[in-house]
Amino acid sequence: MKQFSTAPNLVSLARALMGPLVLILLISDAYWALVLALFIVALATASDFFDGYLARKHGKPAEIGRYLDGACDAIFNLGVFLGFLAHDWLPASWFLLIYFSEIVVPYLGAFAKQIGYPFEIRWSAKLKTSVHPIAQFILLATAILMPDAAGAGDTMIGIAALGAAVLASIAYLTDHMVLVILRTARAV
Amino acid sequence: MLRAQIWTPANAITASRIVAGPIVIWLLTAHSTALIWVGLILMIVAELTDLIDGIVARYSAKVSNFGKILDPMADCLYRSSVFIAFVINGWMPVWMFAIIVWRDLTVSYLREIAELQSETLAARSSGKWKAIVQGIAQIGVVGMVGIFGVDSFAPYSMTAQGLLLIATAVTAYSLFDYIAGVAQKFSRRDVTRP
Repeated sequence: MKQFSTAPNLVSLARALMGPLVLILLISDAYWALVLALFIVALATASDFFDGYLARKHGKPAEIGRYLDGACDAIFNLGVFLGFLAHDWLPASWFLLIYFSEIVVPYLGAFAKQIGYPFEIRWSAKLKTSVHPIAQFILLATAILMPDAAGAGDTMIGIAALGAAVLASIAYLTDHMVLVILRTARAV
Repeated sequence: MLRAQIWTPANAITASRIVAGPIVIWLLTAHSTALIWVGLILMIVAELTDLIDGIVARYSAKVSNFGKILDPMADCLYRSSVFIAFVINGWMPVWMFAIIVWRDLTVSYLREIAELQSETLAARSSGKWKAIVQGIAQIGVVGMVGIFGVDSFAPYSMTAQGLLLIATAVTAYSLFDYIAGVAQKFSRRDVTRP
């Protein structure tokens, strides 16, 4: 358990807890709640950089911290996207693509570890980690700046931001699936 | 060896559940009582595959680590597909779906973290109870829609919401049980390797 209670891991865990908070704020549907949700998205994004910085400052980042960071990112991001789903800004099929990629990749990772070829941090994971917060920020900012619009997800910029987030998730899933297939073929 | 672990009849049955998910979404969201009944039959078949794959694996003595990973993954994908159809139809509030999503996501990462200990996180009894209760709730709600008809079904009736609430509560319990299980594994490691 000592491996979990390091400063960078606690920062990651705090980010995970912000996911349910953002969902509650988005469901509440108040204008001030949207502003607070935007602030929390910014804070969570900053914490993603901060935990990495803390891990490097304390020496070689622990392997467990890497996985915990990924888990907390996914929990937070899904909280935000669930909020968008509740507002009808995000189509359910798009949400499913994001969710399936988040669910399947850790299972693929566990299998890759079993066959002796654990995943390293991939370009697709970095892409997803960069695109998701930008998309969330754009959508929330659109909802705040254009409160009279039918829905932030219906504006051109909203569709583009969410489309980019979904494409990043598809790239993340495809990249890891191809990797597992290639490594399984090598192991066989 | 690895090929024999992956290509087993049990794993093929498990994988069929993943394919059933999108079909069930389409059937449940088509706004047709007839298709709801087809969806219900497919859901019952999918639930049966959850029983059969384990029996086939044990009977053919082909319980593999790959199967132990594939089975819960197929469960997550299939059941969340059914629940998203509930959300689309307005039968289930997003907050209940969120708890189910977070539980499945957290357990998938806990599995990966347990592999760091070179241990495969086997299904816990809370996971099995969660699967049973979720299966009953899903079939119960879709059965009610089939009986009352798509247009006459009241999604916020006590029975429908009660079933979904119980499923959500058992899911939340399972989340904490898995976290406690993995924490115990790591605590043991702290004791044995200070």
